[in-house]
Amino acid sequence: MPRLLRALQHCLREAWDGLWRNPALSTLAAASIGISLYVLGLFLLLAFNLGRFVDTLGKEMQVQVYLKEEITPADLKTLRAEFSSDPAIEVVRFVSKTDARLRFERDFPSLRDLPERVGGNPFPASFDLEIRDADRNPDALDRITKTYQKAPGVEEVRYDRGWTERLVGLVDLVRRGGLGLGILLAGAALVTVGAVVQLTVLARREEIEIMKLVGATAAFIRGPFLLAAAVQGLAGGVIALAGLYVTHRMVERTVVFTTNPFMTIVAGRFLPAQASAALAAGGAALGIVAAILSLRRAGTF
Amino acid sequence: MIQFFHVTKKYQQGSPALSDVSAHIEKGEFVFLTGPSGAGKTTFLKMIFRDDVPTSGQVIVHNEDVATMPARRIPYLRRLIGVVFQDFKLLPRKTVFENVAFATQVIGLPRREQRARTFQVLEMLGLNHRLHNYPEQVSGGEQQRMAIARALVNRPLILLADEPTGNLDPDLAKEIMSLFKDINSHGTTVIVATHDRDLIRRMGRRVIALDHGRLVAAAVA
Repeated sequence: MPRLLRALQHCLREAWDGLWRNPALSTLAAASIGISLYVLGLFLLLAFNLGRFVDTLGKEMQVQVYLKEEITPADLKTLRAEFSSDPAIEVVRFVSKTDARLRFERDFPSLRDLPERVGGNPFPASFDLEIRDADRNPDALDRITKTYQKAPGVEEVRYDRGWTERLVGLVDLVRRGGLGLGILLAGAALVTVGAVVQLTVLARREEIEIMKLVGATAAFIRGPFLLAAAVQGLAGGVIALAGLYVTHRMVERTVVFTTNPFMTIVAGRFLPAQASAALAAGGAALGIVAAILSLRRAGTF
Repeated sequence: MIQFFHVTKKYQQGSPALSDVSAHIEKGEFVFLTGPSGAGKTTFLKMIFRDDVPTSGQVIVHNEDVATMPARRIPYLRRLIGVVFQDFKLLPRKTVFENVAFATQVIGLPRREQRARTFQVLEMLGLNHRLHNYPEQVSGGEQQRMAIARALVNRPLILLADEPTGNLDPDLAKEIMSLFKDINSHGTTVIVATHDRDLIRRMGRRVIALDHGRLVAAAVA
């Protein structure tokens, strides 16, 4: 068997022994990582669903360019050409005065006689512009507004800026809050896992000393500790994911979820596969970092 | 094989453990290191396997300056040296066989080779009937032999023994010494730290005598 494979085998065997030598400590390490990742995951889940909501809302969001009554056919043609060549605009739809009135009558059937009562058709013709995904943000929308506001024949350009900004801000806040709290809890998990590694090192100090004296390399000594910590971290990640999944399912089944649209927004879907995998891998990484810091303190690095 | 050039070792408190010690030990030599308690014998040995470094001076082992060698080279230096510690340093949770095989495992020998060498050395030291016993289940002399077996199992170029007969009765001490002589006859450089003058006289080998960290004699007994 090649030397490297034998070293790996030793690493696996010793890590396994280390994990089972004190199951309570191993569980404590995994649980502390699990708790920190669970809280981080909750915020990720919230941010993910809010982000999806913003995307959906953005897709429905259009920019309306209202036209002056006296717009000339030449200005109308020029405007249409400009919209079509603007890379930020995906779909251009012209809504004539008649179409606008019909749309009003369709959307508000109880008020269908209102136009007659105010003397004809008060609705202006307009262009409805659907914006590409990449430009569905406050800055790009501002640019579009400014570009066409002063164009000949344009009365007004509108989009619901306030809502977009507030939602984007909320998603950002949730992400930052989650990250901040996650980092704080990850710090606490680092201390716990580090303490567990140190206790294990302490329990095996005689063995480690003899290993050093008979010519064991540093990698041979540290390998099992790092591997055991990675396994504890990974287990913590899996615990966190399982906890998140159960929480998500429980929220889904509550009455509030079906009756309150906000709940549908904030907990509509579970984390995507990549984010789930990243969370579990994050646990393993956290375990390894804790072990490195702890082994460094114990003087084996 | 081993050269000490004006080696001084000072710890924070008290007088120096070694003071301006110069000594040469040739390849294949059998040397006694002697002196009263606190003379610096253990410090001298520790310098050889790089468990300690000199405050000043140089220690050259197998053509390498142990003080300046990079940390990653230390394990490979130690694989050339077998050490029998005064307190044995046995692992209480491992059996006689496991304690000795442990040293072969650490240097990455194939499993079959680990077993073969361990059985061989345990047989040589008369411990083959104790394979599955734990250190606390065997006598002091057998623990001593376990420590020697572990030091020899990786076939070192140098064997260091710190008071190897300190806990043994005279017959067993004689037996251990004859074992060291045998090992030495196969080319291994042997350095034995002891304050047992009778033993040194009987063996008639070169002696490096230390007192209060100073070299006071280097001659054949």
